Amino acid sequence: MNWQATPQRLDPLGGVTAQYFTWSVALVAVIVACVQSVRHAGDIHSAALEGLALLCIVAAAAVVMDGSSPRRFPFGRMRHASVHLLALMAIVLDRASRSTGEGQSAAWGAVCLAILLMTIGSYRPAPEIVLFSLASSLAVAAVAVAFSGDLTAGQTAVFAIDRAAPIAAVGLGAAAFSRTLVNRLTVWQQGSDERAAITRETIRAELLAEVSRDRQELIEHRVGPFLQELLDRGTVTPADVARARGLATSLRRTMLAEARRSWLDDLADTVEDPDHLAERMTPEQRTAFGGLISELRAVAQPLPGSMLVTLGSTGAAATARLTARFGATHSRLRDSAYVAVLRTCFRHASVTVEPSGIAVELEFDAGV
Amino acid sequence: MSWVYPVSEAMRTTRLGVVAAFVWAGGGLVVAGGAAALVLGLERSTVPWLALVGFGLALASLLVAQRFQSAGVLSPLAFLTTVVACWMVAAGVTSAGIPFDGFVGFPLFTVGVAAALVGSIADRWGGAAGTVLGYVAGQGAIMIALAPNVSPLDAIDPAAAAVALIVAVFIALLGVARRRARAASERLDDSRSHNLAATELQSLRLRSRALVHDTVLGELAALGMARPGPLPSSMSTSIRSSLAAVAANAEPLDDVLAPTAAFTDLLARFRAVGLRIAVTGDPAAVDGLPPERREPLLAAIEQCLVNVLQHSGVTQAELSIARTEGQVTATVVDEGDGFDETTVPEDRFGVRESIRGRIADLGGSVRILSGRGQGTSVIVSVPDRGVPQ
Repeated sequence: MNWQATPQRLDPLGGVTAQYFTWSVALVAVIVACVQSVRHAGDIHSAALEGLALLCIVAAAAVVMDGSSPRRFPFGRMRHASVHLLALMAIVLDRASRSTGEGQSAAWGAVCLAILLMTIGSYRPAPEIVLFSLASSLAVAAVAVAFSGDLTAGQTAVFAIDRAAPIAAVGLGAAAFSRTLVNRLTVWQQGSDERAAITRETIRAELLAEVSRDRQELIEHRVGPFLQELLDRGTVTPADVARARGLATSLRRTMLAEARRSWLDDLADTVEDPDHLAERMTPEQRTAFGGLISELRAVAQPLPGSMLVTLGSTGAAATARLTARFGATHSRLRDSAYVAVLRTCFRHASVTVEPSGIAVELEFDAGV
Repeated sequence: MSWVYPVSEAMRTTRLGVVAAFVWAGGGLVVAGGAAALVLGLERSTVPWLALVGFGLALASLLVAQRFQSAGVLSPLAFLTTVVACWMVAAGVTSAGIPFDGFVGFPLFTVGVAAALVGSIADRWGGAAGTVLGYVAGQGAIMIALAPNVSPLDAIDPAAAAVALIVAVFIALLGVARRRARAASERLDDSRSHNLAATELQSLRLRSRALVHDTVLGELAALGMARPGPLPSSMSTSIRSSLAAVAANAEPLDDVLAPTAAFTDLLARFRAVGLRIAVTGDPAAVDGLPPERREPLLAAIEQCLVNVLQHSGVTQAELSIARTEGQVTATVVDEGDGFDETTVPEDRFGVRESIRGRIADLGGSVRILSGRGQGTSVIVSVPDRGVPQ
């Protein structure tokens, strides 16, 4: 079992969907912080510290929102840790801005961190979520105890549980969400691979006749009659020797032209790929790139002949650059889902959409 | 690997993930609520048994609701049990003499949230309505239990209401949000099918070109170097065989000879034209391969021997077969002129397609050790099991 797998990496389109919820909960967290701050302004004795606390929670929300963008895929461990650290800073600053004891009940930091963690299960692996949220819970409990003032031991304990439990509970929930999705996605993908193998066999059987026919056509036009005539005659003349050389050269040229043909030739208007790097892309990379080009053709309707793909390499890294120009009346291209998928399967992927056209830069392993 | 996850499957998976999240989050809160209630009771030297049983019932309800989501009567029963649990917790803390203040709010909040979550899980028509119903029923039960001492308005927990509202909106928007990705999903699915077909076509064409190269192109090359005069019978037989091979309407190399016969036949053909081949190692390892691996390996060995015959300048080669864990390796060695693979013209398909292409198709590997004047060693390895790509 892969404990580092994340739903976002296994299902990038699901990660795009989660973006809407992530933005929503981040906004809710900020609103809760602001409302609580204003409602209980009377408890605050240091406006500067409270202001800093609000800034920290806004920063944590911004980190979450930014990380959920397809252009930032995947949501990394450091970003996850940053959310916890910023929220913990907000919790400490908010607590420090209020009087100790019962004045702490209006503190909003722990609730806001719990809200921010609600959608983290879409982006990070379960063990990491559990570890980070339990660590934050303990830290929050410690802060609650430190600022308990004149509360009784029992009240302090309840106060610490009250503040720490929502973070731990939401963390456990997010981890369960992450684990459930990873398990089901992994099982589905295994089934998908088996289904692809069956589909491949079916396609292969269908294409076999086409390939055999192409091969026979290649031979029967000139080479077949020449060899048959030679067999019938039973002798080799100097003219036959010269013709055999000529036919061999011609056959090689034809085969070379076919061998040079790339899968991208069917999709783009012009493909410049002298080193045949397009063939080094993995099936997933081809699917993602091909899907984006299909979307471009269907939705953005680039100017005829304007779609150019150029491939080159530097050492072990290969790059593919796609450019296309749009006409005056192109529809709006919804590229976010494709950006997410491209960033999942390429080393680096950037998509720049402008009114006049699009530029896509992809980096992948050139192999040896 | 594929990541074009069907929308219907994604919806179901997300729903299951959300339910699992509710159970763990709700369960965690209920346990924490029970602990808080116990601490508050112990401060007054009493154990709030009724409340603790209520927390236990709430926890059990969450588990039952998850386990029997689609069962007819059990999920509504879990829902009702949670409502009863809410009443028991509120009545339990009251009967234990715990005052209704900011501290008791947390245990009541946790059980109120549990009611909303069980309502969401038990709702088979989406979850949003069940969440709201769960919250309302849970809060109602708490109000009734607190009624003699606490006014209904004071008993309403805004935090639990906020959680229920967020959950309800989250559930309601789940389907809508995922459907927005449907267009991309369909386009990517089409692209995957197209790519699968293109890859298979390319693979078949590569093998077809290798067949043409090894047969007809070889005949033309031999004729291009032949002396004028009567056509030798061996050449005549070879041309007929080549024409028959390219005309066959079958997958190249599917026309399989018996294993031993194929290997012996291969060696005999080269020995007949003057190439001396010393065979070492474990030739039976080739026979042990399944046909879809054996034939490409034999074809690659054949091309290596063709290269020795045509380009090395020597008439002797060594063919070594070895079986190691998980793979069979054939090594063809000659002490001829050698070559630099990077300088081989692009229209020479022998090494690139007849050897490398075929073996790569099987997930195997090819290593060529050669240099001008240093002889050539070609090491071809194929896995002895697994599905060829």
